[in-house]
Amino acid sequence: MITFQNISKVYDSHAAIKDINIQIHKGEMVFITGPSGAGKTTLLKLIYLAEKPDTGSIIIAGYNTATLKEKSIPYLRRNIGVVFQDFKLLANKTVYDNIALALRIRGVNEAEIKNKVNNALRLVNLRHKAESYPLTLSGGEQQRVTIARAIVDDPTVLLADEPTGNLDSDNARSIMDIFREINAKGTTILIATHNHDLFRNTGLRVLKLDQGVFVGEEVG
Amino acid sequence: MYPLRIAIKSILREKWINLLTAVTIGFALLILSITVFTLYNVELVAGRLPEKFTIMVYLKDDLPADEIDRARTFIEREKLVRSVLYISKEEAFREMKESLKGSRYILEGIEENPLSPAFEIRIRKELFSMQGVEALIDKLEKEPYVDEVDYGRGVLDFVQSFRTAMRMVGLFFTVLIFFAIVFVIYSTVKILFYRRNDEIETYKLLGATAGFIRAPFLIEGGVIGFLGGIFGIIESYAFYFVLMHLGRDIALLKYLSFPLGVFGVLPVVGLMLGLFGTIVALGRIRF
Repeated sequence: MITFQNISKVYDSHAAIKDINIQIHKGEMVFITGPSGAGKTTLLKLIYLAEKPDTGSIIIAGYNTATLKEKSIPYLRRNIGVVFQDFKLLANKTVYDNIALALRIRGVNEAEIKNKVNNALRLVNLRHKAESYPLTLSGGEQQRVTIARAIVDDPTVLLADEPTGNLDSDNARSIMDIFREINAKGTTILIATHNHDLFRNTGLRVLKLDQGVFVGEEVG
Repeated sequence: MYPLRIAIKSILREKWINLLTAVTIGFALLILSITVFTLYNVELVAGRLPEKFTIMVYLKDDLPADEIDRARTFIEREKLVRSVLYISKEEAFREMKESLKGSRYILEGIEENPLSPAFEIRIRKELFSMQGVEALIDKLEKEPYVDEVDYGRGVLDFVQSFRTAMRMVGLFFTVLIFFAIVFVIYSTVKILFYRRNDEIETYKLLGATAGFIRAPFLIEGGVIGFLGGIFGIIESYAFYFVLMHLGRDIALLKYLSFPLGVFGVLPVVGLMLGLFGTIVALGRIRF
């Protein structure tokens, strides 16, 4: 499903990612972990081409990032749901409109949008907040809105960057429950986190990065 | 439909900057209207010139009647010639006396008629050209029965030069105004784009295409340009109204024509320039 082939990324002569070769299979839920500055966020950004690799290629959902034309990037991104670390919710839109935006961009009709947004809101347990604005919500609620937006169009791959970073353990657990539910439906999930509690005793694959280098993997 | 909703929201949210831009475009289009109005009147005056234009061909004295007839036929055969009027020596003298009625002393001492018979030639309006007229005059001057050929060359040259100069000035102003409008739209769209930069970045990350991102700005730029055209009509009509009412005692104004139909084109001009300015401002959308 996702194949990294000799991927490297350099910022101002500092190598953020060094020659990474990893494969993630369809339907897997995988964690990427490592200390701050290990390259976790950069690796995710390379997948949805918010950053372009300096060498190598990533093959994802049938797209090869090395040969992908710039005008095709939006179509690659439509296959990937992203839970951003900083949420990227639009303050001037309601929760409903923030989630619906992902579908409106794809040209989905309003009746279908209503149905899909309500399903996503139900999944993250936020139906009662549909007409609220993001800034009136707690951190955990905002995180769940971001998840709802990422999964509303049933992406083949879901990327989550520190999805429980600022949340208490109860909220973190509820977010992980949502991920498990989405994964059970067949979505491949890649979660970048430095929180070992998230993957401990899960039996899932954990990929370790350190200073941009893939240092090995273990089972959580 | 969603881009249209975004555009309407943005137009209303940024109403003051949009209104200011539209009014500014309106003033630029007012200058364009005045330019068109001036050019139109210059062309109108210059266009009437061939109707009034005459060539006087003065003949040698004592030409026999059959030679005058032959000369007349020769001139009438010229394609450029609309009509030929023969003015005899006596007729010319009578006309001169008539025109100098108030200053008879000028003619005191003149006993013999000093004038020559002449042909007054009028030119076909549709075939009128300076080169054609000059070629005809060259040809006539070579005829043995012709004493002298006279035509208002100075006036004609002046009008032609003035017309050319006005066309150049008009073209310069038109291009300048078009650039000014495109620049105004360009600046406004750039401001609107930067204000929504974070939002647009999120759109991109969610899979929006360049077309989806551009569409609301194109609608907004087009609407601003179109509104600018409406303001242009209002301002141009106000100019026309003021000129007609405050300047009704100015004799010159009676001879001027106002092509009011031009006003109707202004919103279309505004719309086109609005779209063009927006396209230039957005440039290439990078992902």
